[in-house]
Amino acid sequence: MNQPVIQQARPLNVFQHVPMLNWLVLLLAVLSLATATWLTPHDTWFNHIGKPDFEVVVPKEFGDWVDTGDGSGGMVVSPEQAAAVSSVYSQVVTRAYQYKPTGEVLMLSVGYGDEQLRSKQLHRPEACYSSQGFLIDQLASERIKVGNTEIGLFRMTGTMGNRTEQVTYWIRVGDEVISGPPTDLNIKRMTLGLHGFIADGLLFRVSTLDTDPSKAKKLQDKFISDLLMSVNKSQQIALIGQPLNL
Amino acid sequence: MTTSTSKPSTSLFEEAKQIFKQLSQHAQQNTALWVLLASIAIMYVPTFWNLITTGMWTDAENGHGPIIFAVSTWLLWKRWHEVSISAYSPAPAIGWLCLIVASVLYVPSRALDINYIETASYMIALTGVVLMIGGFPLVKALRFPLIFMLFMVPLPNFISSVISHFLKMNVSIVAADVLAWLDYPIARSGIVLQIGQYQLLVADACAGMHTLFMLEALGVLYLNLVKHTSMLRNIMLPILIIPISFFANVVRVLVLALITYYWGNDAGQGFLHGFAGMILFLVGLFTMMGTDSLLRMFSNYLSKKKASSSPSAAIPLRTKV
Repeated sequence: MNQPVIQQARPLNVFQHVPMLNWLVLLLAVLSLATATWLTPHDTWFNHIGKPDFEVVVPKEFGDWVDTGDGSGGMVVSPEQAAAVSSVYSQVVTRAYQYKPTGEVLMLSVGYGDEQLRSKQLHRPEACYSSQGFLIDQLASERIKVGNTEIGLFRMTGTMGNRTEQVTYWIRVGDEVISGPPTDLNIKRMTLGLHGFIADGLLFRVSTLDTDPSKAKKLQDKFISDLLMSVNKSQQIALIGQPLNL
Repeated sequence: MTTSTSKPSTSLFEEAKQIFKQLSQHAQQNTALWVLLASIAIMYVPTFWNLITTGMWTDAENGHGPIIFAVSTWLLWKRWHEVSISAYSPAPAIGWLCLIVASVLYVPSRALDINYIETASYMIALTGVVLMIGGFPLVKALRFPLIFMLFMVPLPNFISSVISHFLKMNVSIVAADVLAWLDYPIARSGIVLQIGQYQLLVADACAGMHTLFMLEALGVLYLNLVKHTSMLRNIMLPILIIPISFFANVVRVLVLALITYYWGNDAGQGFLHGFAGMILFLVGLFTMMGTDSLLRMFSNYLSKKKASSSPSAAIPLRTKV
């Protein structure tokens, strides 16, 4: 193979030997990194809304509801599952509430991630339940009204063996409850990012052991509206992104 | 005594000095290339650092990322040296276009943490550099390592969750059917297998997305390294790897179910769990090799038949792989 002609030591004046174009590439690279770094959000939405502590945001007792203290609701959580949950969420609240007038029990599970980075995105219950062996049925979205505020909920029925669970949940990212398809979650995350905030993510899930969806729905909606009506504005912001419009 | 102890260290030092000298000589003779590589490094060292530290490249689904990166970089370096400089015909305009496209993808995806676009833009930027240095002849010589890097792009969630769910469901169904056919007391509900008194959950990690991609990458790499000329093998093997990795996952779940059935839950979840993972990989690898041998026999048979039916064609028979 022919060796290139210039073999002797060259003067180190690189500007002579490197085309201008290549220096422009270097400039492009530096500018790209700088712009990306400048655009990267650094404030968390979690800080912006005053670092909510969900043990407090969701009171143990309000209206006709009281925490029974039996958070797991008789459900055994495998250690693998628990590890997965703690790697995704920064706060988890699991409680079982009793509705005093009737004695009915409702399970609450709040999962909160203060930074919705890609590797830590919250898990949608339909995926979570099915990965625990539940068969998911009748997943549907629905809007309910609390005061004058509409909240986009998802409902589904999970069955495993003889256990039938009616589930209602919502997902909040930043200042909005995301009721659309899962891609809306990413779009919201990016919109918040462009406004300079690292998105947070809240999964608020209630469920009851019941084979009758409409009965369960009534109890769950009562719980949701009682809770939102009884807490203050900053708690409402932590739960549904906005204060209630009464 | 002193010489014998100091000698290896001096020679090691000398060697390092030699390498450094060679590198700096290379840099002086190819300053243009080094400037371009430095540009790539400025943009993408932070990217790869993030992939490793945020866990994208170390979790179960994309754990093969670093290996693919290493292999493709090595291949890129090796094949680059096989191209003679006289064959270069730089295409700076198209190279620039690639770099600008890469940068346009890179800035928002890096700022908004969309790793798959960010990682994919690395491939485009690298192609741009190759085009600026050697143009299309060089890109042609390096096309395999450049495309092979696709395997290291972390899959977006909306794709990986669909594939993973499909695999989980179907692996459970097939495994339960096989065990039922073998008369084991088995029941299935979704992805939960009940064997005897034990319950097994076919989890994400067990479903084998990772195996699928690792085997697929290995198969493609193998095909490229042995430089098959037979189209049949080059196309069929990558396609067949999909059912092969599925089959390997079924075997893994079967092995785990039987371990649990005979030795109890602790055995199934303990070190034997890792052991089953190894079985999975070996089964996949050997099935892949077996399939390739079959394909080779078949394509040899085809070419022999062709040669005998038209002797004028005189196709030289390949004796070696």
